[in-house]
Amino acid sequence: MFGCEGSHDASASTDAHVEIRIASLSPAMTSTLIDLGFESELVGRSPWCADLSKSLPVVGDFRDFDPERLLLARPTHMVLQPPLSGINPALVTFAEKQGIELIAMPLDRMQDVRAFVARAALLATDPSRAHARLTALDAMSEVDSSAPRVIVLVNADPMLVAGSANYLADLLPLVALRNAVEREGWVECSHESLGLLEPDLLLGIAEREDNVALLQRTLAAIPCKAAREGRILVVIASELLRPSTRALDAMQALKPAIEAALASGKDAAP
Amino acid sequence: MKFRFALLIAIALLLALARLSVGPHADAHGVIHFGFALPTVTTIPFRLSAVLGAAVIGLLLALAGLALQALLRNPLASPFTLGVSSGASFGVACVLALAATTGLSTHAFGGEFTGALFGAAFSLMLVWILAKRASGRDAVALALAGVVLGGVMSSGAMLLEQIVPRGLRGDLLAWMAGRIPELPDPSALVALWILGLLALIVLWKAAHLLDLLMLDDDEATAAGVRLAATRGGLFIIGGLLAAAAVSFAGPIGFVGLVAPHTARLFIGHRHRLLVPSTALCGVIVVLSADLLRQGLDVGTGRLPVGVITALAGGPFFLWLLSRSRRGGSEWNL
Repeated sequence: MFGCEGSHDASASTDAHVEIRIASLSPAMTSTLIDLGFESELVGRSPWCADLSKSLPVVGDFRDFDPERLLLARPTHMVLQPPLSGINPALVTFAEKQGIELIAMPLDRMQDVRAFVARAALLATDPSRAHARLTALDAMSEVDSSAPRVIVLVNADPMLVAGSANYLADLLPLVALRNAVEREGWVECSHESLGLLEPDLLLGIAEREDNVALLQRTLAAIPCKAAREGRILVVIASELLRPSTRALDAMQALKPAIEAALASGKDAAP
Repeated sequence: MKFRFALLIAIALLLALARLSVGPHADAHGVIHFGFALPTVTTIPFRLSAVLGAAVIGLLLALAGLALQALLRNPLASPFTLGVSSGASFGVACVLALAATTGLSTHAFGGEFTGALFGAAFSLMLVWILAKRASGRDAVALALAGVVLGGVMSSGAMLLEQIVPRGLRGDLLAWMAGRIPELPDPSALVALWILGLLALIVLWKAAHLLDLLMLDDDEATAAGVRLAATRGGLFIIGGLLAAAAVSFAGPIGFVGLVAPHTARLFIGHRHRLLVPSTALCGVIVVLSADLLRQGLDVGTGRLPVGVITALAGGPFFLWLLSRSRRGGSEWNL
């Protein structure tokens, strides 16, 4: 019933002979599915799937679901990131009874995103886009231990930074950086504790423009050499705040700005 | 009075019918709208379980509110005055912490339902013991013990929420918003209905005692009321009903406060009619909120019922308060 990591088999397209209708309860999975060309197959969304038309019905979120709207949307597949507390058993029962295939996969690391792309490739009539993405994901380089160290801040209050074993940390080698934070997952920190790490660059990722100034101020207040010398970069990149294939492009697009920030020691424009 | 009671029954039945008859439907282009949509063989189980779930939560919370207002002789008492809601939140937070520590799903520990039930029961037991030690379980001691313990339990839940991984924190907040579960376990639903109907019968049979309990202690004792036993019984009934409702649906606010006062407004203070009327008002309040929730699409999915009852219940309660300022009795507020 539950999806699991699929193999990267170019000929695989087992579900492609039937009409595919997907309800996505995960914004990150929605983003990847749109990137892979599934936009017209998406028939239901979560409230947080900003990439999709508002006219698509909201059929649930990580915790709750709307059985009647799901029935009307008639999905053949439902994708979701299982919450740490476990999948709602009522949703599992509902999906079983309605013959909906539940594809529940965590997306903590880029390797999880890869597994999801491999699973999605099995649903595609034309899996070439998915295979191109798999190739790009496989080509991601390992962390270079001599690369400049960066702190990636995604929220100012509380201060939330990307730790290790996190998809954002996995993306850093794409821009020749490595994570200065060693604790795993998302880490809540104070200015002082971040200052002790003495990073080479302070990177802030904002969802919207109105968050930029606050992230800028927060990073500038970290007591470290990078802040004093102005090696601070704040970008608006909502794609980077979701573990999806689009995050790959978004991170690569930052490379010139990151190089400029590291070289000049001045604020680089987003 | 009988006409008004019949009116309450009619309103409750109409709301149940409305909840069964409205829902989402797709137009020719497949776009989903909300409106009149007769249930089909496929949708009737969902709508029926929604009606039964909403109605039983309303029944339990309303009767719990009535029992506790009589017990504490306080028109502001609600099912959560005894710390039931905070205790249940603490229980849910404990289950989340257990899941985080062991790496297992919360369902391995019986889910939030079990945590909430144990937390609420633990809280009630502590309130009972604390109040007895303080002054023999009089109304003031019970209320004070409940409020203080509620504060401690809430702090405990917040502490545990900070300890669990970020991915689990949203679960406690979502639970605290109060939701009637989709497709609830039928056996749980049957158990709640049995509990609610038994409580309704017991309180209705004890209507005369409840009337006498509104007098002061000396008058009630002179009239033959065994105060300690009656209060003990009301504590158990009120606490049990509140704990069951909160475990099933989370803390849905204002129902236990608003329903008894609305029923008093309609029916008067005699408990013989007030008990069933309060139950009906509770059913009406939660069914209305669920109907509104079903139809109100703010683009973020359906709102939790607890948010709607709180949004509507607050202003309604203020209206009751302003009415009492114009000459109503303290029990009309």
